[in-house]
Amino acid sequence: MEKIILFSEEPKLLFELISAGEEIKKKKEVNITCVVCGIKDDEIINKIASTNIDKVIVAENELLEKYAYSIDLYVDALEQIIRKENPQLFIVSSTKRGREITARLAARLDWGAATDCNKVYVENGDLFVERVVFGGKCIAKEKIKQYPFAVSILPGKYEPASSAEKKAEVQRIKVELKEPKTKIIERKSKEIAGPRLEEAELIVSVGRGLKSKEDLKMIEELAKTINAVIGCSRPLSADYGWFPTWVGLSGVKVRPKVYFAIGISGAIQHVAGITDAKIIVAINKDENAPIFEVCDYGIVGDLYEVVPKLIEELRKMKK
Amino acid sequence: MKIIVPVKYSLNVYELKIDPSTRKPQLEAATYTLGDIDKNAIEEAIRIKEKQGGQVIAVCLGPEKAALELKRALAMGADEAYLITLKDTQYIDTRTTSKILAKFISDKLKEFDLIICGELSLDGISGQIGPRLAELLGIPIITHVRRIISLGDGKIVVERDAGDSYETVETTLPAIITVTKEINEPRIPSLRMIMLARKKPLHKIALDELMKPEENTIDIISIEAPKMERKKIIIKEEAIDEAVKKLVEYLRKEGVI
Repeated sequence: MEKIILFSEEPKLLFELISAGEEIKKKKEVNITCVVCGIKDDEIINKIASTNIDKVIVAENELLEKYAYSIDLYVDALEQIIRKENPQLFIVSSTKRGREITARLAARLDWGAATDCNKVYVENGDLFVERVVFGGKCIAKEKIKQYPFAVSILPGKYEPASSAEKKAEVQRIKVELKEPKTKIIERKSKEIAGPRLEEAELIVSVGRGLKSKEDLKMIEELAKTINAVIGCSRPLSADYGWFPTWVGLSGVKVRPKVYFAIGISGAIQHVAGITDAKIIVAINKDENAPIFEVCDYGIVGDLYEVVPKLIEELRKMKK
Repeated sequence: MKIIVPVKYSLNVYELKIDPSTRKPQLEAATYTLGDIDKNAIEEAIRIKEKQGGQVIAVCLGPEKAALELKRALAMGADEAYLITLKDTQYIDTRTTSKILAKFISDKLKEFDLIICGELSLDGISGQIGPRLAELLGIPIITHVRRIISLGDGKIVVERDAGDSYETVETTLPAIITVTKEINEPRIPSLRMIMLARKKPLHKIALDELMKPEENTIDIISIEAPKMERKKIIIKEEAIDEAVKKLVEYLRKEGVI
C-alpha cells in the first residue's frame, strides 16, 4: 500500500489536505498519515484523528514550542518523520511557510516537487497536479513521474474534510532538534479584522482609481450594504499601507460569489488572484482597462459616480 | 561583501498572447526577459554594494540568447555575470535547476556572503529555487524579505512577509534571502551605464561542462488558459443610474446577491 503524509503548520488547513487525500484514496489504495508539529491541544489532535485517515503523528520537542513557526524546525522534524515512514507522496498546505518547507524538504531528500497546486489527482493510476503558470494566464497539467514527490496545495482549493465514524491511531514521536539557524525576533500579526478574504462570499475590492484614503468610507458603505468583505489591489496595501494584505498572485487568492473590482485596472497578477470568483463585476472609467476582458459585468464610468448609485440601488433591493 | 544573484531568463508573461480558439499560449511569438522580481534582487544587491562596497555577481541558467538580458543586469550595476548555457528548448525541472546552480556556485564562485533571489518567477511561479539552493549549499534562508534591517558583522536581520504576519528574522552569513517586489524600485540603467556594461565580464559556460542534467521528476502534459468563460457584458448606458440599475438586475438574476 502506498503511503501519503500530510502536513500544515496551520492545523485547520490540514482538513483541506485530508480531502485531497480522500480524493486520491477513491482511485488508489493509499494509507494517509497527518503530521502535526508543536501542537499540544488534544482537542485539535482528536479532531484530526476523527477524519478518514489512518494515523496522526504528533512530533514533539520543546524547541517546537520555544520557537513557534520556525521553518528550520519544521523541516528538521519532518525530515526525520519522512525518513522513518517512507511515503510516496508528501502534501503540504501552500502557505508562504508551507511552500518553503516543501521545496527545502524536497531538496534535502532529493525529490521532485510541485508548489502552489490547485489539485493533485489520479488518472489511469498515475498522479497529476494542476498549477497556475505564466503569470496566471495558464494552467499547467503535470504528471509526476518520479517518486517520492512533494506537492503543496493552495489553501481554499478543497473543502475541509468532515469527521468520520472511525478514529485513527495517534502516535507521539520525540524528534531530535537543534537550535534553529534563523530566529524570529518579532512577529506582528497583520490583524485582519472581520472575516478573511479567502473565505468571503462577497468582496468589494478597490484599486488605484480611489484618490484618497478618505474615500474608503464610500467603499466601506458599499461593503456594509451587502455584507461584503473589503479587498484591494497591491499598491493600496504594499505601497500606501491602507490594508494589511491584497488580492492577487503574491497576496491572497479569493473565490467569492461576486467580486467587485472597483477602480482596479486588472494587471495580470491581480487577475490571477480572482480566477475562482463566480462573478466578476468591473467598474472603471478607462474603457480599455484589461479588467473588462475578464469580467462578467462591467460599467465604464467614474467610480465616484457609480459607487453611490450602486449603494442606493442595492439598498432599494434589500427593502 | 560578495553577493550572488541567480536570475531567470523568463517568459514575458505581460506580452504573452493566448490563442482564443485553442486556449494555448502562443509560445512561438513569446518574448523573454530578466525575471520581474529578479530585477528587485539585483537592485537590492547593488544598493548593498553601494553602501558597503563589494561585488555583485549575476548567474543565469538559460539559452545563448539570455546573454542579452544578463547585460541588463550588468548595466544596472552588477560587476560580473555568468551564463550557464543550455540548448534552446530544454526543459529542466526545479530539482535539477537548483542542483546546477548550487554546483556552479560551490565549484566556481566558492566563497560568498549573501545570495539574493526573487521570491518567485512570474512564468513558473514555483518559488522553489531559493529554498532548494539553501539546502544544497547548507546555509540558512529567509524567504519573502520586504526589508533588510541590518547587514554586517556576519549576520543579517530582515523583515519578511510570513503571510499571516510580518516577522523580524535574524540569521548568520553566508545566507540566502528571497525578496518581494516591495523591497525596492529597480533602477532603469542610463545610456552611460549601458555603455559601461559592455566592458564588464560576461562569462559563458556550457552546461555539459558543469554536469549532466538529471532526469526530470515531472512531465508537463499541457499548458493552456483556463476555461474562464466570462460573460464580458459591458453595460453601455448613457446615464450611470440606468447602468447601475441594469447591473443590480443582472446580479439578482444570477442569484448572487
